[in-house]
Amino acid sequence: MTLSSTTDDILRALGRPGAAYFTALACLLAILALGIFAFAYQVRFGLGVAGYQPPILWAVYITNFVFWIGITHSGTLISAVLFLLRARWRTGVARASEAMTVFAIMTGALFPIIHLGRPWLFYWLLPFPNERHLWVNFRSPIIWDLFAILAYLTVSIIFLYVGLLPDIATARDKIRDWRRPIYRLLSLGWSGSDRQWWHYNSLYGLLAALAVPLAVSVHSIVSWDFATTLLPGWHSTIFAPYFVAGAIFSGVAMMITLLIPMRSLLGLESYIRVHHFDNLGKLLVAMSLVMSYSYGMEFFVAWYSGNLFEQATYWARVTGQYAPLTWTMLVCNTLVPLTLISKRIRTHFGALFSVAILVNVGMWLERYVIVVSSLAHDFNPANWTSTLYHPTWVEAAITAGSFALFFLLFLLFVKLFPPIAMNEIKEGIEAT
Amino acid sequence: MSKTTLLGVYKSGTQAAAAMTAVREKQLGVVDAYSPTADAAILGARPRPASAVRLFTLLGGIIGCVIGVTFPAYTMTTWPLIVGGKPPLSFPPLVIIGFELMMLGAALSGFVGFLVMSRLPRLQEGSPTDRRFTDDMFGVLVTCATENHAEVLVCLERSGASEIIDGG
Repeated sequence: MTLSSTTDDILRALGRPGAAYFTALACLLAILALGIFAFAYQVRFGLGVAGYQPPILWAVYITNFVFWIGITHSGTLISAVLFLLRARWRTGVARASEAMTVFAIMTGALFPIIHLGRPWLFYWLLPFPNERHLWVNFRSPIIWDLFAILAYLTVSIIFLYVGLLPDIATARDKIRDWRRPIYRLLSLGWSGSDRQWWHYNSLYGLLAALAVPLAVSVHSIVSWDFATTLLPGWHSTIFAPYFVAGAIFSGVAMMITLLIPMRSLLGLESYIRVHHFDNLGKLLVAMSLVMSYSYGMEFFVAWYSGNLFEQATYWARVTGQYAPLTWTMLVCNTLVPLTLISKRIRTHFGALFSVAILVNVGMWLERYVIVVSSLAHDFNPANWTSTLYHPTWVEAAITAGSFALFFLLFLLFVKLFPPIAMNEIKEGIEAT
Repeated sequence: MSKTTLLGVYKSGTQAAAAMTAVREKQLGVVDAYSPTADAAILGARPRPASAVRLFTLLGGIIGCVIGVTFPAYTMTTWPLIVGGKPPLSFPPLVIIGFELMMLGAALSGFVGFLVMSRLPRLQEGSPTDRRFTDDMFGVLVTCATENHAEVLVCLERSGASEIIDGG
């Protein structure tokens, strides 16, 4: 592998896409269109078209919000943490994970707006005084969310863009088609001078150091949307670390889900190699053990607290109406990943991909179970058996649309920008 | 005193760093290096003070934190309504908003500092210097007095330049 071949190999991935790419793009656009139609339908006829019924007034949209914000975490973990730890294997997967972070935040941030009864008034969340000179309530976790997500989105975009800058300059100098003016604009005139690299190194390290506590804070704040209420099943001190661990777990699973097709679709087998997946598999199984411990602690604390409502909620979770979902979630998140203890499974793409998909399903269900089953078992026993929430076609279509949006953005990204950090690969080649 | 430029093109960062060191030790002119990656040898060949990007980041973080604490505190005290049984001036939200804006301010300010210190953007230049320097080659650009031209040329050649471009 030489510097020149690295450039050629990675820029070749930006070449004219094949039929499979366009087919995937068309499918995703169709699903996204369905999601947009469903949202328009909801705006036209009101939030009643979603399956909400008291006391379940938070459901799939909030589930999706928490799920997508969770997905963002592996980007920071893989890229920023491994950069700070000087783990060289990050170079193959860091770019994709950073992009995944940005697109997942963009997708997740839509859901609090979709969840609003009058989504066109979402800007009321912004801190400006109304006609009575009242400001937004800074004591509300929803406002904390706004600040946390906007800060995280901005920092993640800067982190991704700064990492891309030298590679965009390479694309500017090598690619001769309609994209060149875009690269020329985005490269900002980067020349690769020692002055630029000196300050680049400083900024990249600082951004990595900022991104890690920021990511931890964001999912902690998302968890406080629940934990600062008094509802049994939500009012828990372990929610912040529990949510952060879950976010990393689901993020790594999504990373694997994206990388396995990407490497073969773009012909990047030499750069995203078996040992990358081996390491990601180890990370997944480690986080699965943390999750298993967290689930155990949730039930233990409910039992040991002696609080009847807490005990009843957790008992209902494993024996009541939502028990099938709870058990599916527990199997997907605690038992299935244990198969990755075997190196043979970690390094078998089909098996690893299947495990990652099941973890994605399990983590989505986990958020669903936390949100819905807790609301279904509040302080009023009259609510306990009367309601069984079912998502409507509108919620299902919007959820599918969000997945389509995320994958669509990712597909477009990997064909427009170098999907692997060329400059870091070259740094490794030079160092050896 | 008239000036001239010489551009040495190298296959490795080590060679380019050697050329930089040779020219600098003899104080023959001003040296700039170009590379497709953050090459440790090149960055080590010219000792620089710690990047001012750090200072930008620190200042941005402090400003963000101050705004994140004082602005919500101002809004809370402007119309002190008790909501949810919490005191009008509640401390935990100040910590949260202060922390988030500190991070945001630090990142934005660091990025601006990077652009300022790196003298970017330079949108009028399509691909500065030489396109190979963003691909697989390393460059050492020496701006020197005309009388040093021959000596610089020797330094660049001895370091293993695969090509030397005389800018005249």
